[in-house]
Amino acid sequence: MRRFLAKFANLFRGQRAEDEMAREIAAHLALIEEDYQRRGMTPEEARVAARRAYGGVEQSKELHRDERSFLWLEQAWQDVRHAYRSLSKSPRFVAVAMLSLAFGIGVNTAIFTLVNGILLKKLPVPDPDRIVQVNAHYKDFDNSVFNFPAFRELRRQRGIFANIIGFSSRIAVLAVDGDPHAIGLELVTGSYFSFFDARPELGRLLDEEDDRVERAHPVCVLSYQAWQTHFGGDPQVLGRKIYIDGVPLQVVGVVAAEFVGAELQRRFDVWVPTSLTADFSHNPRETPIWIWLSIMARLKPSVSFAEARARLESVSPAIEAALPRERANPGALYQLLDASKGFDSWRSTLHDPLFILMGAVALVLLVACANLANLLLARMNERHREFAIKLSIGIGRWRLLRQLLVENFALALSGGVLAIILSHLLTRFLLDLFNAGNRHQSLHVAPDAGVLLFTFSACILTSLIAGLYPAWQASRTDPGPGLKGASLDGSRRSVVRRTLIVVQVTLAVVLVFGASLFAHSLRKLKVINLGYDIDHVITVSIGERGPGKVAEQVTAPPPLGDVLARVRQLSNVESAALSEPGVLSGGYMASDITTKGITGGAQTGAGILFAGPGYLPTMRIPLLRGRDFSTADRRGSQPVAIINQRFASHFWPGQDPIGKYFDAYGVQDIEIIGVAGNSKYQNVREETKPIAYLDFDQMPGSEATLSIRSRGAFAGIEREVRQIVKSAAPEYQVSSISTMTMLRDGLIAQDRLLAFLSTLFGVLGAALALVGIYGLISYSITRRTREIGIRISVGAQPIDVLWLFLREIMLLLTAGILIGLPLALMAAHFLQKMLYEVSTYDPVGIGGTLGVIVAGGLFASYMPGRRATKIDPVQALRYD
Amino acid sequence: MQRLTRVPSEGSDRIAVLQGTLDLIVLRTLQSMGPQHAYAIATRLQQVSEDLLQLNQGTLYPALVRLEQQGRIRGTWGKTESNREAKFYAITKPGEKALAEETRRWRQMSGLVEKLLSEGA
Repeated sequence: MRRFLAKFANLFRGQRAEDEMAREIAAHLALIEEDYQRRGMTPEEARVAARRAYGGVEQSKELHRDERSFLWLEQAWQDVRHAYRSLSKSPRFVAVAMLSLAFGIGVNTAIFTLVNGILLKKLPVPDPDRIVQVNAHYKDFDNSVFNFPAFRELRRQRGIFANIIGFSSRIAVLAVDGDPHAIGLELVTGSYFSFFDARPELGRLLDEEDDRVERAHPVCVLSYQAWQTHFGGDPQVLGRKIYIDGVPLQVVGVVAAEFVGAELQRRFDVWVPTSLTADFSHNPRETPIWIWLSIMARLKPSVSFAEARARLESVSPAIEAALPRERANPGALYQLLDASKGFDSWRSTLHDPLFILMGAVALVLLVACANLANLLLARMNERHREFAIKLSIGIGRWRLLRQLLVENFALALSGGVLAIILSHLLTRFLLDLFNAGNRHQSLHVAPDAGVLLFTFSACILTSLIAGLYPAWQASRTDPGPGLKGASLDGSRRSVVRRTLIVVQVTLAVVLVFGASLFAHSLRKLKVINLGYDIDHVITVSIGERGPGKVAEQVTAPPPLGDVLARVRQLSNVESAALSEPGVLSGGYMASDITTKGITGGAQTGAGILFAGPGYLPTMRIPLLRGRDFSTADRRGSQPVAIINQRFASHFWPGQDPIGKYFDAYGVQDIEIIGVAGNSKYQNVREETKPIAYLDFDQMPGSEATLSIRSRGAFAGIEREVRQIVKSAAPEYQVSSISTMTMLRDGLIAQDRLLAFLSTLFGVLGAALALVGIYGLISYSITRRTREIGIRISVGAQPIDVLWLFLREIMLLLTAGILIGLPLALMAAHFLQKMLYEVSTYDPVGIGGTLGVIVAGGLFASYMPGRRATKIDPVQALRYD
Repeated sequence: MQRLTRVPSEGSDRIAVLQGTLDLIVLRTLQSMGPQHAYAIATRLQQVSEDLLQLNQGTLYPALVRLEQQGRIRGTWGKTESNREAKFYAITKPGEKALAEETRRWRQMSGLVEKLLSEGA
């Protein structure tokens, strides 16, 4: 211990200890000299003899230092300073190496930030492993939303759950001083906040009493963020009445800033008890045919997950029996799923893509490592003489090795710092890209300490992977020939350098091929025939204003005729029509279809879409037979429908369906007046389904989607439409406006993200490999200048010289491709699920990949190769 | 002409200091001779071993530093008879104790080795 302290003290007295040592050694030498002189040597002889008797002064000093202190720490500091000096001498090397690393580690950090935020982090509650979510399992599908009676029944299962909550989110409009702001609102059951152990920043949070009786307590809680943004952090907001979707609510509290809720990746602005459900939706809370509530629970401490799951499944029939007979989706088996990481709305979907991306970035990092290793090997060769000198003046090989490793680590760390900046920008960009199409469910992910740790580990790992071999080689320098400047690029090292290039090419082939598949898939998704033309179509969701969207009011005729007429008159509007829901908007209605006079197994369900006159032409859905809806088709007149081809061929194959009748959506004897072309309803990827268009004016609803085919800019029309709705239909409000292209892009956001990222990584991987090739050729030209000079002087033509290097690169490229292509094809199997109509043996992809790699490789070697052809033999022969 | 001083040189009959025994030897030397500077210690070791011990004098320093940090010896700067400055090392109380302990252990050890060697013969 005492020794430890002494060493520790020495750490801070480095110079003094050093002086003391020098003084002592000098004194010692003086004593020996004196002794020898006394014994008769001349002063000169004595001096030499004393030194011999003493042994190597410098070695002894080293030993002395070793004993004196935490050598490693002191030397580490020296090594760091040494690394800094050494690196600052070659800024170009540092720049290339740092950029390679910054990109390699940066993309890893960015993707890890997403993996960490979405797949790894647990809810910040005590004992998160006890948190579960409830899933309704049916014969052929699963559902994670429930009606309120089911929630009530589940809440009764006190033998299983210690606490259970239900929640449902929507976009609402908060009016502050007359200005509308779109906000995220969550309807929550009474114990929601206590479930998450939430703490109020101000006032109180919601409790069971707020949620007990419908519409008894019109209260809400604000998020910290909303409180700051919309109310300037004013404490007076407590007790204030605010209007959300026109509903007056009293603010009773603000939740603490750190509160997250059921999903780590989502943020809400306002929480309202489910007792106010009827104010924010078209249904009262108890509506059994309406499924809307997500359910999470904490298991009772005494029950294991497996027990709880088994018990809940066994009581499922009893729960089902207790529910109202007329309800949506009867016959559920209630299952428990782990929700320690929060409610799963993104996790499962993003799991595979994120893992594939993580794999891709790992490959990019490997390419960067190989690059760095090659740079280092070249650099070690250049510094050969330096090492020889160091070794011959007594620096140990181990010490030299360590110095070089420290140098590499310093390099990796500075690359890491750049990488963090880069990854921050990339993550932000990715989230923006992803959220642009998912505005209703935007993804929030931020880096944390785990991410920093990851980056740091990546730095250490990189510096080891890339730097160990070169440093080890350097530390084995033979001082003898080294001092004479003999070059050490032995055949072993040169084999290593070439192998590294092959590795880089191999990895680049895998990355580029993966990118080509995603890009091809995205291209297919974009040019997919939707059945309508989405270019220049703007879609406007219009809903009735609250409060009081209750059942009895929905029968009132929607006064949207004026709005439609005025929109059609706008100068830059080609046509416009109403429908409900809008296609590709996420909304979907379906119904069983019953047809008269059809027997056998032809009965099926179909998508139902209410469309007004002019909808099909506006969307450019071809009307193949019959007529469009007209203003003569109104409420009370004969119910009419236009069906798509799929519908027609299903029920009346080979016949003319016009004039036939069917029952759907609770309406009897709907007459078919037309047949339209097939089209996509809800999603870009869906199979062609039977769709029945019912007349919008015969629809019992209070929401509508206005589709506008425009000639002008989106922003101009948006302003005008909002103005028209405000003046012509004040009882309605515009809940969202976007272009059809934006909706489509939202649906393929994940594909876009994958295509974008894989392309980015493919480009990065390939670029790094090309830099590697460029480096190898430049280096080898420098080394062979004399040889090339001789060749030129004996008559070699430029093409011969060029061929010297191209041949080598061709060989390396071929090797890389031969290894890389089978690997890429194997890896592609993991991508299969995420591709749209692209084979994993996609010949276009294979061809493209080979083209890019070969062209890139030849280009990267041609650039420096040209320099070789211009070598002046006279100078080259003098060159050393 | 006076006789040539013997200075250490490479010799096959010389023995290297056994790892760890140098500390013991230094402590013992300081105990029997009183405070000494490093050169005196080195000279003494060579005399006692009749030059059998192969010892670069510089290698003595790590042992001295180690012992000083362990608190077994203490160094102070002083003057030699010839009025040169030198660092004099003296054995301390803990040093005496350590020496006794190490001596005991060494005897035990060498006795054991001796026994094994003679029995094997």
